[in-house]
Amino acid sequence: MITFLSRRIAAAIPILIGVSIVVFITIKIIPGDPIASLLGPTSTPEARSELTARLGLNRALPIQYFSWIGHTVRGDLGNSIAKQTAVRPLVFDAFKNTLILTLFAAILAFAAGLLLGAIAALRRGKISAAISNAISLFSISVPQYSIALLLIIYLATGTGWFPSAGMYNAIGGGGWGDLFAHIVLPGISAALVPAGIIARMFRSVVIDVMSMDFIDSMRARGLSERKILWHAFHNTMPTLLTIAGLQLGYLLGGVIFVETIFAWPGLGLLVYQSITQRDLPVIQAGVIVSALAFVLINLIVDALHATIDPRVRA
Amino acid sequence: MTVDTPAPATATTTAPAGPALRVVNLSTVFRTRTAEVKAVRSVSFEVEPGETLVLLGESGSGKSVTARSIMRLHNSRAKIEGEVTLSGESVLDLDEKSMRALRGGRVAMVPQDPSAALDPLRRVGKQITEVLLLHKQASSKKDAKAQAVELLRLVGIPDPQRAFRSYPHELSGGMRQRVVIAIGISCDPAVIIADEPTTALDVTVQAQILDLFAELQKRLSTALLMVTHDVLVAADVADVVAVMYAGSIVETGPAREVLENPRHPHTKALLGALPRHDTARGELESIPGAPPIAGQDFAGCSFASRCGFAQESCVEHAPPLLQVGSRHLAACPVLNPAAAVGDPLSARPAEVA
Repeated sequence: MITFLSRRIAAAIPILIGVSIVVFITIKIIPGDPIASLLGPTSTPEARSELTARLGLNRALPIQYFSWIGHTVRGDLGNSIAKQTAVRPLVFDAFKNTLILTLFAAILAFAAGLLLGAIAALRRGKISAAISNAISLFSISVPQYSIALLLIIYLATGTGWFPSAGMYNAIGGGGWGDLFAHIVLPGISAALVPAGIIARMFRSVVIDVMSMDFIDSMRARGLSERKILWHAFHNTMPTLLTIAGLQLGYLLGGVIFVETIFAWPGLGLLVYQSITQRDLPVIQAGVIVSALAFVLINLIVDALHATIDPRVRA
Repeated sequence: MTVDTPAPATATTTAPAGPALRVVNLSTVFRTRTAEVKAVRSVSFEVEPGETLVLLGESGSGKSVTARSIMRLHNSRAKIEGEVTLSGESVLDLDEKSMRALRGGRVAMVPQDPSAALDPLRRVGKQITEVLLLHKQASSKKDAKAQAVELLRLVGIPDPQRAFRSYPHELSGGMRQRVVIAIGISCDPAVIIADEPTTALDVTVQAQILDLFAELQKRLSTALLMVTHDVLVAADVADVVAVMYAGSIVETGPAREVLENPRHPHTKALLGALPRHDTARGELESIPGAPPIAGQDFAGCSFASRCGFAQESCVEHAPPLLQVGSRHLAACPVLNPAAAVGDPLSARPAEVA
């Protein structure tokens, strides 16, 4: 198990290096001049070249990359160009909020997805299966933003049941109840697509497992259907974990739309704003933190996978 | 088998001990949206304790469906009719709960592919103790473990303690089949149904597993119903052979008699298709034609269209099983013109008649 984990961790390092290179190159090739956005259109060429030199932007690209990665590894994410504050607390606060939303959405997505998938698999040929298939297909196909807008129009501004934006009320806000009221609509919007994907994948893995010979053998040994279902569920766990890792990663990256629509103060919203402001240090840090979280989630999933399935250990 | 003594072919045995397994006029029909598939057509046989009956037939002949019908392992689309008695108790009208108590208890199944018959995510030992505890064969977990290790020793696993802790993928195919057999015999079944138990194994391991069956059967005096397509396996283990074709038994009797002196054209053809040492390379005998299509009903003899002896009457009436030896029956009036209609339940080795 320890060798298994250390191998996986070793494999994660080149992935992170790859991600950092891609982020760095992306930042370099996207249009927009950070110097121009810092100094404004009326700046003199002398001032521009002086700032370029001070920020190190006139050095060779590999040197810029290594200087950036060196600081990042030591936890120094630099200063925000637009907000003129340290990037680290900015990004970490936003990431914490994103994580809260992601986890809430993930719980919703898994509860709904597993239920729909199980019904579709175990009640095959019946109306309930057809209905849950239709629901999961619908939830995959409908664009997130349109559902989000419909939710805002009818459940937030229309009925006033839920707040339409933010994470806490500005006045007298705070606490779990307030957080819950704010998280329901963005949570549903973010969970919709993953719920459908989980439902469809869970359906197929349950059908797969239930048609395996050992299920039949258990029946021939006199096990009750309930016990057999339990063993079958156990056998869907490896696949389920893989789905979980991918969908959590997807949610982490995908909540950017939802955060923008619901003004959720998360990493997505922060990066989105930073892109419009050409705030490169924040964009870089945001993307790197997301990638790190994605890799970490998959590492945890792999470790859990190994504890459940003896065949992937060793 | 021992030499036959001339005994009258009287109907219905009502011996006090009774057979371990008795199947009378068993029919299994699968209903699909478009058709009814008669997979098993009025099959009858008996297996005594300690005796081995082999259902021999090609793929699709209904032998596995027969075996699974006995344990009622089909889904709700299958309609099973007839009479199945397990050591005196009628099986087909039991409710699902009593049926579950029988499965793995009084009647056990050893399936075809040992690699697929075990849960890949659980240790072998757990899968044995689960059945022992389920059927109240063990009083505690500790007792169950001791019994499981003993069972693993009994089926010839060299290091039973280690095998108990192993996952299925850590054992070889032969060892896994031994584990599956250990689970099968764990609750002292009166009948073991083995569905092609050696097909997935290579030939040397196959011989070991067949020996194991013979040895266990002698020790536990269990009735064994073995399903196979392999004539050589049948010749090796069978006391009684029942040859199936298109859902019915076309010939049955003591193994040696049926295999050495077949009296039904299908059995003859089946034995003729065995490769021999003197067969020229690249030449394999086969039976021309194909079996009846599932779901299409037919009136006469199921083999008529492929049979060299077929006459007009064969296509019109399904021939009954005819008495062609004291315990040997064959459903072919053309080859056995003088024979009278016999009772399929009388086909058995001499010493238990």
